Amino acid sequence: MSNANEKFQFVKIDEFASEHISAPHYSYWKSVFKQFFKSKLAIAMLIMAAVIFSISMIQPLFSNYNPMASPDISDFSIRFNRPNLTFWFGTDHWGNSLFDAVWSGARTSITIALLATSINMGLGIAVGAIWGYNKVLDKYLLEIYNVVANVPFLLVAIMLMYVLGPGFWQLIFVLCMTEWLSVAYFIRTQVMIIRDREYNLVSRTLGTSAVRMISRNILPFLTSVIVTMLSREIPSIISSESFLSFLGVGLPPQITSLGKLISIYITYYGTYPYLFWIPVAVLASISVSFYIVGQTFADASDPKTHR
Amino acid sequence: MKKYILIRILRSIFSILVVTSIAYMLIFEFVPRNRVFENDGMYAKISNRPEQLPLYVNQKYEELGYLNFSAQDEICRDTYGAATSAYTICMDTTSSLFSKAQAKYEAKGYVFKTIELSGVVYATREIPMLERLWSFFSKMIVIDNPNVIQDETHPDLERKIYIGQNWNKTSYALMCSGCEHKYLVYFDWAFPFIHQNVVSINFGRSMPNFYGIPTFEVLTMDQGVNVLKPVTFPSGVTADSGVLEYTCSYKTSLDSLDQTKFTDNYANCSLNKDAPSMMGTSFIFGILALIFSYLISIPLGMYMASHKGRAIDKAGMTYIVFVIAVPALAYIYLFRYIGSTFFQLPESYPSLGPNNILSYIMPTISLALPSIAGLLMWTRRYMVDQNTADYVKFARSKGLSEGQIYLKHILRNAIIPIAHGLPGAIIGAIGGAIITERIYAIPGMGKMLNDSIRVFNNNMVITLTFIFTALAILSVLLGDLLITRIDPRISLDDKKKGKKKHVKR
Repeated sequence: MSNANEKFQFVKIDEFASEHISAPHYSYWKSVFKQFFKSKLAIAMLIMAAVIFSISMIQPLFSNYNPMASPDISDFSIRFNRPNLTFWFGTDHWGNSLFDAVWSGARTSITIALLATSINMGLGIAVGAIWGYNKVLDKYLLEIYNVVANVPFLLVAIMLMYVLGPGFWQLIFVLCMTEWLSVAYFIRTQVMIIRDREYNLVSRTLGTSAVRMISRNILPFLTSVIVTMLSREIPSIISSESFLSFLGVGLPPQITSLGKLISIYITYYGTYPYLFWIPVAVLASISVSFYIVGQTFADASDPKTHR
Repeated sequence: MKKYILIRILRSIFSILVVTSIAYMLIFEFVPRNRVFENDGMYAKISNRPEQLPLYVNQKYEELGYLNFSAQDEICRDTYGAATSAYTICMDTTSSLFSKAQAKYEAKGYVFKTIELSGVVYATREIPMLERLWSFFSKMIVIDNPNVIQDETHPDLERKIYIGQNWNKTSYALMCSGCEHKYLVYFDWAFPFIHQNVVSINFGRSMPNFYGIPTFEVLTMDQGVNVLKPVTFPSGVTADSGVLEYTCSYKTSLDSLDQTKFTDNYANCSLNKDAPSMMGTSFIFGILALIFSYLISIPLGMYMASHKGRAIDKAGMTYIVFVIAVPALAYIYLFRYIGSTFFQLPESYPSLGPNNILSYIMPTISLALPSIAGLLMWTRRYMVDQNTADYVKFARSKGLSEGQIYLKHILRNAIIPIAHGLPGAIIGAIGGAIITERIYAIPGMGKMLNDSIRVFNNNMVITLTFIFTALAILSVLLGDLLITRIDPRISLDDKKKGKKKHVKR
């Protein structure tokens, strides 16, 4: 008996361990990335988006492609060369390398898409959050929205481009002019749904200011919704931009874009199909990769999918 | 409810007016006015005669509503009357009578200019924006009446409305002498059987494409090749002709050919052609695409929902992602390529023409592609959500078959949001028509918008903006009214709290 007592020792209470909460460590952003990288398709698309993005930002710096200049116009031997080792994407009717043209066009298309999307999303989220929170503002903005939303976007865009004339900044203005309002409307509806939830009610009773309510309580809740919107917005802007340029109301002659290349090379649709299909394929790859990366990221950013 | 509908209609009209006014002001303020001459053949001809150029240019500006323009003879005639001695003196710009007339015009805001080569004087007055806008709207609806025609060569033109017979004496019509149109109300076997020429819509004249024809007429007149058939004219002459007698309107000067055929001055008739008008073409495609997309997407969406997670569901989801992510330009060309290579369908509408059914297949599919994706997503989502609802569980426990549950229980509930999406589909079809009509070279309103923008046909752009906006806004209104008919639980009145909010499209 006494022997047994000697073999045991009293352990002191470990203050640190008793304070430790026995839940696994959880970091929101870590979980988001963990979830995101589970999808092989998303990784492939992320790599594709990154490659296309970097080529289109870097390649035009070296090629110095200028749609107004055709230095090899008098050399008939390098017109309509099919894709080969010298000209990876072939050459067109003026002997210009399609490889240069496509990446120069892709740079414009991506720049416009990113700029217009960030303006639309930024303005849309800011206005939408206040709009959903403020009932007086709601009355007026809803009226404006009802007039704007019922008019087809393409019609407004074509009309405005016609009025403003072709140009890079004009195009961005037109792509943002009415589109931010639909983003704002969507956010407004989302904000209205969660505005009066219990945790917000408690927060408001405790005297939290409106700005803090929106920025700390409501918007973080909407992360996945916002990322979903973002992933749809980029393809839709790319589509609109390419279409406006295709119609000839988008960009001036000295700036090229994928939509413009498609509209120029449509003439060779039957005779030299590579001239037409390569820009189409690059355009589609850009917007599909951005879309799938965005969608997967949106799914991953929803905490319900974690664990 | 009636009051609500009335308010909604008024608001819809207000929206249409606001959008059209903004479009009108922007176009006339910001599009450089001289660009209209870039594609004008007449301008090119006159441009090497500098003594006539300013007169032509200003006359066109007046027609387009930019300014008031008066040449010297018009100023003198206006002030002193035609063929008077004062008029003759006034035509000399150094005379005192001329300076008196000039002072009178200058007081009204006119600015005088002299053409150096010929010494001709003319005056112009810029019309302020709001005045221009007002005259645009006030001239928009034209009501035909016996005092419309003011023809100096026919001062004793009879002015009356009477009931008469058509050329073949087969039908009666309400006719008019002194109106723009000879037949005011008439009957024939074409839908809607009773037709009228009394009220017409006027948006100004088209220029430089479809030179000088009223824009609304450009959109509504038949296209294609003339269809000739034997016609007995009022004078008794029988000839093969494409003349449509009910469209005849007043013509100021008759040529010798007209004189052999007609007994009065109503000789300006439209011709019978074999292809529908631009508006008709666009409507045919819009309606075909709408029917097609609903026929495909609702059954397919239901099938996908009942086979959730299987191959067909995955294929459908891939298609939805494809349409959202791939730019419209790319997938329309892709489908056109598939259609022409594997099914030998025509790559453009004119190659087989409007009377061959094969011309309609690919454009209809392209137009329907995006709305199929949207509807498919909606139907599937709704069906999947409702699958676990209590009423469905109850129906299942009663022993109903899955088919019965889907068709009789879920679909009836699902049809409401789907019906509400109808206006969205129409708005989408309008946007899609601009793309599709361009790619398939369909002579419809969407292609006309594109063509008009290229040649700076301002009046046409405004006309089309008005038509598209009106269609879109009215379809939203009809969609809202439709769902209150289908579902008695929905009330649009503000009094009840269940106010239907617009579904995000």
